[in-house]
Amino acid sequence: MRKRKNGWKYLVSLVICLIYLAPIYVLVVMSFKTVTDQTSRLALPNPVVFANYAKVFLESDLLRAFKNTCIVTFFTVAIEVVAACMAAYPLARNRSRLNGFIRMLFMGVMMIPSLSILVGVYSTLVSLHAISTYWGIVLVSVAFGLPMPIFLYTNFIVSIPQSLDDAGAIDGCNSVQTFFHIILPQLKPITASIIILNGVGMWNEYGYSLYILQKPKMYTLTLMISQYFSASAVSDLNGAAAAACVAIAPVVILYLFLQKYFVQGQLDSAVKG
Amino acid sequence: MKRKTIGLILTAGLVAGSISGCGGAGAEAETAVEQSETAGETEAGETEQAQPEEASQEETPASDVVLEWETTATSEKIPTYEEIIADFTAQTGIKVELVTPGSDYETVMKTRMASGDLPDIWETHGWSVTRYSDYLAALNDSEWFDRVDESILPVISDKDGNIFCLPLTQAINTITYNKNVFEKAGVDAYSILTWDDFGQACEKIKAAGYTPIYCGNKDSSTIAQLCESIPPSFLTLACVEDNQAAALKDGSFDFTTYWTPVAKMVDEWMQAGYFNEDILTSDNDAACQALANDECGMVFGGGNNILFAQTYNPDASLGYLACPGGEQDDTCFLSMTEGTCVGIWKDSEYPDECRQFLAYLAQKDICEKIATASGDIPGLKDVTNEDANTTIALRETQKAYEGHIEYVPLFDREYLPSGMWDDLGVGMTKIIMNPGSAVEECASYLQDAYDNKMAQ
Amino acid sequence: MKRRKQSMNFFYIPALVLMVLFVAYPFYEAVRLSFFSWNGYSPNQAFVGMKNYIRMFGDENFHTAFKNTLIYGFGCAFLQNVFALAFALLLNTKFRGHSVVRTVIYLPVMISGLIMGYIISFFVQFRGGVFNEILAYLQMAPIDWMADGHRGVWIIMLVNSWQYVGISMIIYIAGLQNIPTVYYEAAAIDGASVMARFKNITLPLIIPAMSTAVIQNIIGSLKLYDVIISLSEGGPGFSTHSLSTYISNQYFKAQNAGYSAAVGIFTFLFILVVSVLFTKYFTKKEVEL
Repeated sequence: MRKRKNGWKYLVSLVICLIYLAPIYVLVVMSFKTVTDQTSRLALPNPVVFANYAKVFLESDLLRAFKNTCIVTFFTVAIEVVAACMAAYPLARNRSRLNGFIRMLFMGVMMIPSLSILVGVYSTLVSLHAISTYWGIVLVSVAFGLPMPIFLYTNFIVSIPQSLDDAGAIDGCNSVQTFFHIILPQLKPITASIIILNGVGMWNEYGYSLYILQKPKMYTLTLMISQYFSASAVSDLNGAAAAACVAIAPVVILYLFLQKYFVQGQLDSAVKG
Repeated sequence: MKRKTIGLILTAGLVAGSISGCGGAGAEAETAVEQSETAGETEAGETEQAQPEEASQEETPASDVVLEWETTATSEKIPTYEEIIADFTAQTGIKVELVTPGSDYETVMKTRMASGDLPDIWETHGWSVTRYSDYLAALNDSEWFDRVDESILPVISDKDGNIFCLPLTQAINTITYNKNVFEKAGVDAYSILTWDDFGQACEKIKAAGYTPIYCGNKDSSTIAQLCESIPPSFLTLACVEDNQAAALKDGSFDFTTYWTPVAKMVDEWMQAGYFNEDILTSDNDAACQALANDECGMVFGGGNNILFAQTYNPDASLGYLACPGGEQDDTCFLSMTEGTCVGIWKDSEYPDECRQFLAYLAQKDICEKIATASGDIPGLKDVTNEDANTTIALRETQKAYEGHIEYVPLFDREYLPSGMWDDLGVGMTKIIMNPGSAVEECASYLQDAYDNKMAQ
Repeated sequence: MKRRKQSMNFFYIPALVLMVLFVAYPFYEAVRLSFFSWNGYSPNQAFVGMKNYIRMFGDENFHTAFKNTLIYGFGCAFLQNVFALAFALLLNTKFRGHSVVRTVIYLPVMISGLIMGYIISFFVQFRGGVFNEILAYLQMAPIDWMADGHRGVWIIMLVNSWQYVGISMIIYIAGLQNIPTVYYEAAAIDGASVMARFKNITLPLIIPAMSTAVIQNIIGSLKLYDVIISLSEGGPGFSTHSLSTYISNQYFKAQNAGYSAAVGIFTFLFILVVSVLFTKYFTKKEVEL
């Protein structure tokens, strides 16, 4: 009886898994087929060819794109974390009019869809000579990405008792020392969540990279992939599939290993600011 | 416990997959290297001509100059360019960095113009005068100036006779057709002299079970290729009586009156089912494949479609049609435009090195190599690539239409304001999306866009 | 103590500098440009007053993009929440292997929207696409899936909802786990039906989770960009553009930078209003309960 009762759950689960894994299956299968292989996209590759991967690694600049993506992601997340936890400290501890204003400002920035002021961002970067530079894309991404971590940190710091700060003050710590010695060590769990969420977001970023990183030397993985799919007069969808597999593999593998943290990060970010 | 094991198996599977993928890639890599080596051998024969020069300058002069060359080249052409650059660097010590943004080329160039930060050398793709001349150095005093082909010279000269680019190649823009399909449908290609003849040919091809015209309009702009091939016969050819060339240029052109015949004709083709079924979602790549595999009769656009199609089927039997005239006894025409044309930024830090590089590119064998790789016709008088398939096809067409053909610049570059290409695509796509009811909408849309761009 | 508080304000500096330089100033610049006619690259900018804003009223393509943005925003939010809640209810029953299902559903969130769009294009292509292969197997005529704009909008909406359902699902699972089991036990003793239990216990108690999920989904989907670029490039014609893709189309392709800026400002104001209204609505709901 009990078994039959649970049977439908397995059936539904199976259907869900099929629907969710089919696209990834097709992508992987395609990456192991030659361009001339006219068999169904659902059919397993026969023979399995690795030529697409060889081409992706040897002939294209995928490794450079990989490196660029790592650099951009790392610095964006690092700067975001530092600037956000610093800004969150006074925001959580002070209750002044200035704070009200700053909170409004951060909220406002969160509401701006980044592409809606593309024109302004672009012309600003042009005048700063920041087009096709790492720091251009990093600083713009940080600026647009900051509000969320700031609110997360603020909520977290609010939950740290004020008495700890006061104890620090009595011991003669100034606010900087208090921040570094008392507050910062407590922020570890939330920092992990922020790094994971923003890291994945940055790894997959496309909208702004497209306009800021114009030189192929600076291309990130997403830009590289879009070139693969669209830029060539003679298209090579199987090569593109292989490149896409390489691009998504790191995040997918990380996710499978560190699933717990990903889920926690998602939940932390969902706590309302 | 169970949960953990399943997770472990999943991750293990993925990791194993990725590791075996890498191992396999390494093994495959060797064969790929071997292949490229043999490819290098076959091409060595072509480069041999350049050898004596290289030998005379044994010691490479040291130079830390790096020129930035931004090009529209996509993956097929890049190896040729890199080879040329390597030889140039070996001779002069000047390094050249190739920048290839692919389909984003125009976007990138526009933004670089906006920021006043341009590459030292870039390709002008038909815009050396209208869009780029403010940013380019005039090149009339170059030693290769006298060698520029007469057919391309007027296209790249501004009204004072200045030229701003080295026309390595000139591109043909017309209709590419499949000879096998025409034969099976019983159509004589070179008897198509008017658009009425063209319509009848389409009917026959369709009746024979082929797609008459293949257009990959996923990006809503490939359809604009039709606007290079049709409007001149109604508006601007020398034989057109109610000629609109002047009106188009001074901004007084009336689309409702004069564009409607063009739009109507495309609409009729659409209603008659002359286009491929997936016109709204396929791309030009699919069109070239169809051309290569004897699946369609014609593709509008650049002459290098032959080159692309032959990458899919080297034996494809293809040729060019001249674009037909509007009425009986009108001339047919071929559009000629800048192919691979490179200009120098007027504010480049290294003007001398840039000119040196252009002079290098202008050498006979190099120019020929680029023309063949691009599927274009050389733009310098003393350079020929008569055994390239595209040139053979062009000569055949020129002979067939002899005395009955006019050579014109590309319609949109010559007569429309910068930026209209995209609008032409959008306007004509309306007809494709709503066959039978969008002719007026198309004309009024283009009128608005034209007025807006003229005022900018 | 007061001086201590003031000295803390220095901590704002890095964040403020970045935001002023890369958000506030560009925002001002965008507002300024929205009053000019400019092709995006020439040195000529002509002041045209409100003309760019007035132009929006008569621009059919803008209307389409706006309508699509609404469909993407609210359609995705609706689908995501319905399915996320359904998945969460299913997975909350803790059958064997439920965590594998959860892992699988959340997996696409890791993949960039751009790449996901390309993957889906392998399915919807006219020639060789997986869907048409299945149709051929069933001996049915192939369909050019993306050729019809209306269907295109639906496909994009489905793809986006499908990809990001995992986010809301996780929020709901956590929400469900926070509901004390005693409530259900009490209800079971009272003999309440499954539906009654869902309506009277689960739904009210899950509202906080729902409010976060809904607001996140709506704002995220209103900004939809990369999946559209890779799946349809806004086409055919302009029929699947969202406001975000329309902004970049107008700036870079159509060379109407000033107009593009005006559309951007409009988009900002619209999203602002929507988010404020929804936040207010849900706050009220929560207080009521």
